[in-house]
Amino acid sequence: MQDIEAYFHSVRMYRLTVMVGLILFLFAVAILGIMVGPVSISPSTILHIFWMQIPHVGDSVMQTWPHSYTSIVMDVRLPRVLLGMLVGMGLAVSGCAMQGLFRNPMASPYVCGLSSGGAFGAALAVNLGLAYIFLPFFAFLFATLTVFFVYMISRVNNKVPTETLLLSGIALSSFFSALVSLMLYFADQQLERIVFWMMGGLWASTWDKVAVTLPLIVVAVPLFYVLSRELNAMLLGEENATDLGIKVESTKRIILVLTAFTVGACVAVSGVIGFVGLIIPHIARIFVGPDHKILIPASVFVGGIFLILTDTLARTIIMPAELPVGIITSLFGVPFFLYLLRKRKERMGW
Amino acid sequence: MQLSVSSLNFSFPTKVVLRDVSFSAHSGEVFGIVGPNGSGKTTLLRCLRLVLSPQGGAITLDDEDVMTWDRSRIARVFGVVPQSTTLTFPFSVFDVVMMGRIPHLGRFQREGAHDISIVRESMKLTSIDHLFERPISQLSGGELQRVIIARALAQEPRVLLLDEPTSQLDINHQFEVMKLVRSFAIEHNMVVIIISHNLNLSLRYCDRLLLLKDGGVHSCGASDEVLTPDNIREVYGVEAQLDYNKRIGAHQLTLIDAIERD
Repeated sequence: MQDIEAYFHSVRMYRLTVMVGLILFLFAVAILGIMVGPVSISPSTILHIFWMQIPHVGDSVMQTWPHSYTSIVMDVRLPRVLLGMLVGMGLAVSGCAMQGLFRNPMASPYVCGLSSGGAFGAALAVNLGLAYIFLPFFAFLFATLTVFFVYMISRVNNKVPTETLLLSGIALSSFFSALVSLMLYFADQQLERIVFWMMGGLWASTWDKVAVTLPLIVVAVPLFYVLSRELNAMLLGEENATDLGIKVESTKRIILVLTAFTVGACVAVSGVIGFVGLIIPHIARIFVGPDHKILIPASVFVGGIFLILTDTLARTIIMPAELPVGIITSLFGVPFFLYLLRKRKERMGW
Repeated sequence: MQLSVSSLNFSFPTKVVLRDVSFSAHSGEVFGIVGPNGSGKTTLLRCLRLVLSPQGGAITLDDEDVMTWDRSRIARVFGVVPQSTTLTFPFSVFDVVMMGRIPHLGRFQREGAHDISIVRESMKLTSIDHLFERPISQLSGGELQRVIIARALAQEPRVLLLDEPTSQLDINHQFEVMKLVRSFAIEHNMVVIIISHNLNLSLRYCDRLLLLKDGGVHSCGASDEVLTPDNIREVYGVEAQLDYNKRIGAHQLTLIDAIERD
């Protein structure tokens, strides 16, 4: 039996190791994502191209590859890999916080009506004949509006019972899905755009989209992390958390707002990518346990890795065409998840 | 140290739960709250630590007005063992007890050596220090209850509130917990308030009792003066006999029969 202090430090070392491993893995997966495609580009070429981008220092590199490679890496694949990473991170961290908040393994950003609200916004933009540029904006707007609406409905005497929140989210989610179906039914010509958007995909990833998503993720992830102590205590029950000095109701509000913005940003640039928010936190939980102090950062990185990998698969599996990544995440992610669930069930606590 | 409650009232929108409850509990004694189901015991305990906001009345700890405190200050003074805790998540015993340090830590402050030593001390007092690495999902009922008590102790409370800590436990563990709680009151000079369903355990381990009936104070005083056959009949509708048991040095009740009411 080890001493408590030794245990405390060994836990910290284990977590540090996991995080370093995940960061390296993420880097490797990102390079892989940039390598493969209609033209394969070697890792050393990719690193050289990166090196070249640094002002002054980069001038010394001897270019030994076709000029077009630079543009493939910098203008096409890098923004796509980055966007995949950001969206994966955002969905995973939101799912993680939702599951903690609701103490419910089924919770995900989509349960609160975020996805169908966003889909409704996108369908509305298309139906109104608005320019493509408005589609993500509408998606974002309606995703966040839905969450606030769900929140307002569930509020009784300034408290928001978790069960009511979950139920009204599911109800509103179905309502918006019906509205989307209705619109699809009437929007015969625009159908393809909406359907593609609802399947979720990272095609047409541009630096502009990265620039929209990056600041939100960079701000939201540390904020979620700061709330990990609250989330841990709330896992033991809301009254327990209150007795440990936590302001439960305001914590709920903050988490909902953060999730709405994070998922809104993801949905706006990539459509409805299913299952990432649901399964990534569970996968992370299997390896690092229920403590949000490690679960949140681990989910963030596993989410990034997962979406880069699945998107790489989505755009290479039927080359030169590509599949919506949402199909791949469900098709490959779910069986993998079920396998893990079966194998390590006892460690998850759910 | 003295926790005083005066004229506390609380109602839910459709039901009055507490009416004009007054009492005071002192450090160095175990103060018990007894009464039938629905008499307002748990609500009273929730109002004491402002999980529910009382509608009128005052709560003071010595001369300080508890009702003006914020959540975090309340958590530094009141350690609570609630009726139920969700313990399905595989946090280690150490993790759960460490959560007791939350009210003492700044938002960006990490748990340090001082916190570890308090956690270790709390686990030792509750004899769970050998279990520190174990996931709580693998513990027995008695062990779990001690983990939650250790968490409350890690808050370094001046007031310890326990809501039926023995109701889920085997009889041997019931004794263990009551003895433990008694030692905190006496050796650590805490105000200890405990809700109990078990009248005989209350007679044995509580110095004074508050007997609630329909949200009001029926009687309050020394345990053997509160749980008299007359009071038991009035509050519970049960015929009982109170005898002094020399072997355990306390009064004990023998419950005879429910009284037919018309």
